[in-house]
Amino acid sequence: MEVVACIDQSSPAATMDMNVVRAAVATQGYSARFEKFDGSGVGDDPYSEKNFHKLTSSRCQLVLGFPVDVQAPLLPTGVKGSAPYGQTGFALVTRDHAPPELSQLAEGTEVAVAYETAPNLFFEHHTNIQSDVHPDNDDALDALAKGKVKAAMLWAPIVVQYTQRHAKGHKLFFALLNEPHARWDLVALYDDSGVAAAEVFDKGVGELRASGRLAALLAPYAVVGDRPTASAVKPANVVSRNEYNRGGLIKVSNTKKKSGAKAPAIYSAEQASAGQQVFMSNCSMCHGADLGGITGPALKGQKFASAKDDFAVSDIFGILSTQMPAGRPGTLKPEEYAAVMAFILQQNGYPAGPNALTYAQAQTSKVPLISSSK
Amino acid sequence: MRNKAGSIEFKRSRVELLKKAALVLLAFAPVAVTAAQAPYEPVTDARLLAAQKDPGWLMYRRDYTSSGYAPFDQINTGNVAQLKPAFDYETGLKQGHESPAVVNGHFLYVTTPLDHLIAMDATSGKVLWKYDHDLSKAALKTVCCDVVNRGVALYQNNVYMATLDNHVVALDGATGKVKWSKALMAPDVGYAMTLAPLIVKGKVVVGVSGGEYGARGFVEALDAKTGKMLWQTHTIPAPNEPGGDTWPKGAYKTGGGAAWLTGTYDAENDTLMWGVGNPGPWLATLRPGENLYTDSVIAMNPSNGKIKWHFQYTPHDTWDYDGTNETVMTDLTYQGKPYKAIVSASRNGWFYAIDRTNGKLIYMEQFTHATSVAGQKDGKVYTDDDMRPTPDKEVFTCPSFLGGKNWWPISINPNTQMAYVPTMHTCMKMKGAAVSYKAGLPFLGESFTVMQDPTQKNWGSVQAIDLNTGKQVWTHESDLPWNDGTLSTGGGLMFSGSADGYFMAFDAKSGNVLWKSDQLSSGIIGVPSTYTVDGTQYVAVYAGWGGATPIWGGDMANDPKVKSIPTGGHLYVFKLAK
Ligand code: HEC
Repeated sequence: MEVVACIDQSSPAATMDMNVVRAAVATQGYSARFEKFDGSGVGDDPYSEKNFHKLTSSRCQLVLGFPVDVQAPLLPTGVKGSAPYGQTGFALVTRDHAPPELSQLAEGTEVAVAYETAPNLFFEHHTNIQSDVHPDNDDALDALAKGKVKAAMLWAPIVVQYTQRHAKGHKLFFALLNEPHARWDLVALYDDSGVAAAEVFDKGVGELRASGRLAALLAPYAVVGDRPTASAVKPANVVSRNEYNRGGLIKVSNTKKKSGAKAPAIYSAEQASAGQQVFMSNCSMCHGADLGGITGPALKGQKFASAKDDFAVSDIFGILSTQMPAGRPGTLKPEEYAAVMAFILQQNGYPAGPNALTYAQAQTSKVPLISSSK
Repeated sequence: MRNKAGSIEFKRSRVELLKKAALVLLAFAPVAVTAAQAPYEPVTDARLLAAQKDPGWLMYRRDYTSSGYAPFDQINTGNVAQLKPAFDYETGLKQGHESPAVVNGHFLYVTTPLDHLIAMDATSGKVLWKYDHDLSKAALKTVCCDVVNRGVALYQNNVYMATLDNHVVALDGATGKVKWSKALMAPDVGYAMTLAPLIVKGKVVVGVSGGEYGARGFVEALDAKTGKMLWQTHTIPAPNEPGGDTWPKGAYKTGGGAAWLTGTYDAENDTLMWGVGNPGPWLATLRPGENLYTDSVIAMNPSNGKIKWHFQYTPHDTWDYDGTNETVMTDLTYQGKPYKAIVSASRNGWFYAIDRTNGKLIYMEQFTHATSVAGQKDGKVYTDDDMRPTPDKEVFTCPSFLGGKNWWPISINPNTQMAYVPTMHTCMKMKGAAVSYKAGLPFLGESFTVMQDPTQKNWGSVQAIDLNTGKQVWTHESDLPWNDGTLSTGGGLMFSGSADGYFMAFDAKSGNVLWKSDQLSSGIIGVPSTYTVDGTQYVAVYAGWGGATPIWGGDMANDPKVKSIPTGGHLYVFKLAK
């Protein structure tokens, strides 16, 4: 028996996450398989948390690598969280000696932090220190390593990764902070289809904790933490300006064109009319009620999908299900995404058939998308 | 800092879309200027300084004071009911159309979304030439609020426009031939330009958009002849500059402060005034300090860009209340004392009068329900700390980040001593939240929802405010948002357009609607303008709904009345029926 876990390969703690899953499910007689994905975000844009329920609904039972704030435990939309299996967070980092308490840092000490992260909040209550904001973590760590600042407050797993990569440089020391929004619980995300796997995982983590093995598996990225309670985590359901899709990277695979293929009937008429409603309330303001395009491009006709565009249904579905609606990507239900795809197919001249298009089919469909409408 | 990794395949469909649009537009072949037409009269410094009296409409807000007022009285309260379309022009584009018709003699210029520029005969609408800016696709990535452009500037024989991919382009006004094109920044590094440039003493002055993308805003002046950069003034001071200590160290690099609307020039004091946008990141607790010069107006020396004074409308902003809204120069009397003032209806819902000689506050009054900014003490604005969201607190405050007024310019009328202010009635829920991850690292942002102002029954209004008191004189309510700028004339009229496509003339004194056009093809957000050619007065306005309201408007955008507003750009020009 097997538990499948999605691991963010861009997370500095990816190896730790895999080790914990493997050891935890083994205590229950399961083996673990890992699906890797890239949670690094696009350019300067963060990874959309709204993608998580897509991972849980298609690729794996558990998603690891996305901690929740101990103080404000909001989960990404559409997923549940396991009991915490460890705790990590923002740490005070110093060079050549172990970090003191924040309050013991000398008056006026400049402390490097990264743009838009929680430690920017800590200065308000620690007037002895001054913030030195850096555009990203590496920039802040470089400043510390070169002695431009005496201390930094950064995400612990990133500090670990940095010290591993720069083993020869100055030695950095860090200690997790006890400030508001500094501590983050490690949880596994799952949805209804992953309830059983999450139970296995939770039980396994409980045994690792009881036997004292957990701490070693987590070190040096995280600690066991003192809250081994069941998850009291609430789902978040807010639209974030931060996450506005800036029209960024959208990957389209290179499918071979199947010329001459007759348009197959892969959705149902009812589904298309449900999709029309979804479209009118979520997409038409940007793509036009007639799909002719306004701020967003046209979703109908040759300028949308001509033969030389070489699109498959899954390519377009990938865009719309992970990037749309721009501004709040991933906020629709899987069946709504499938329905809106059906509507787009209908508008581009594809015939309706007896069966509705499922989310999973749409994700993998290699049916070429070539519009036959003007 | 930003690395670009856009997918080629995806962009392709966009390229084709743009090409297609270009083809449609090319169908208008250049037409020779008819002999009857006067040759192109150069727009000299003297003409710009006297733009208020020019028969044409020489710049974005008509004159250096940004008044939006023209003295023409051929069309007036007595005969405006006879206003009829003279001609119209359809652009074939569906995004927001915001540009005013800028007119020099017989030549009329408008820009369209996606940076096309059209020159036409100002009496017939006959297209003289067209310029289609080859818009680098990459630029669209960082345009937050629709792919708009707000029109041209004129100087000597040239017409100037700023583009979404950060170019300033100079073209020959008569022929459309490109004289120079200068890139201020690479596209796709967090900046764009949507404003109409301002010409001051031989310089083309522009500012950048980009408050939502971790950029650092600036105002820049280029040599009008060559495009060479003459100065650049950052709106966020570096740590060693005055105001640098209002930020955490290093935060200035990503402090925001876009300068995305056209400024005002005080020729008497040789001072250039420019509005500055919101700070970044949104959540204020991440950047303790006043965060100068965000949400402020800065006054600069136009020769070198040096800042003379500033006034901050919203200190330490956390609500996205850009201070970019135009400042209008006017002389006023407040509590018996005369002032040389500028007035501005701010995003934060307050109407400000500021002494333009020194940047000191004269008065501030609410022009819509405003709870985030609470008032002033000793001339300094203060905010209500209870209305500041944190990662632990959700607030409900007014107005929403879309503002009591957004970019839609106000006008004033020196005869009535009133300002005419398009107004929006929204509030918002807002909370600081760990909302996004990058390689497992959580980032803090703000979540928000735009909602109806509970004290109002409508989404919008257009109102008159007494310049000498800051108090409302009349208001015209609208169940739809009112997203159009206003135009004032010597005929005792105020013109502005509704979101359901009616262009209207109001009695400037009473607010009575004296004339209403037939329903135009789309909602109106175009800046209205008026001009006189061969003794005939014309009034021009674009219909072409779009901009931030339909994209970011939350409950308002989802209101079926708002959603059903048709799109499509159309310039309409009116004159009196013979
Ligand atoms: C806020 C505006 C907005 C909304 C709402 C929106 N889109 Fe988009 N959409 C865009 C933009 C802008 C692009 C182009 C992105 C770029 O240029 O990188 C786009 C691109 C797309 C594409 C790729 C088109 C192509 O030619 O490759 C698809 C498919 C799509 N959107 C579908 C949808 C669907 C379905 C919805 C509703 C669930 C939706 N969009 C809602 C703005 C929007």
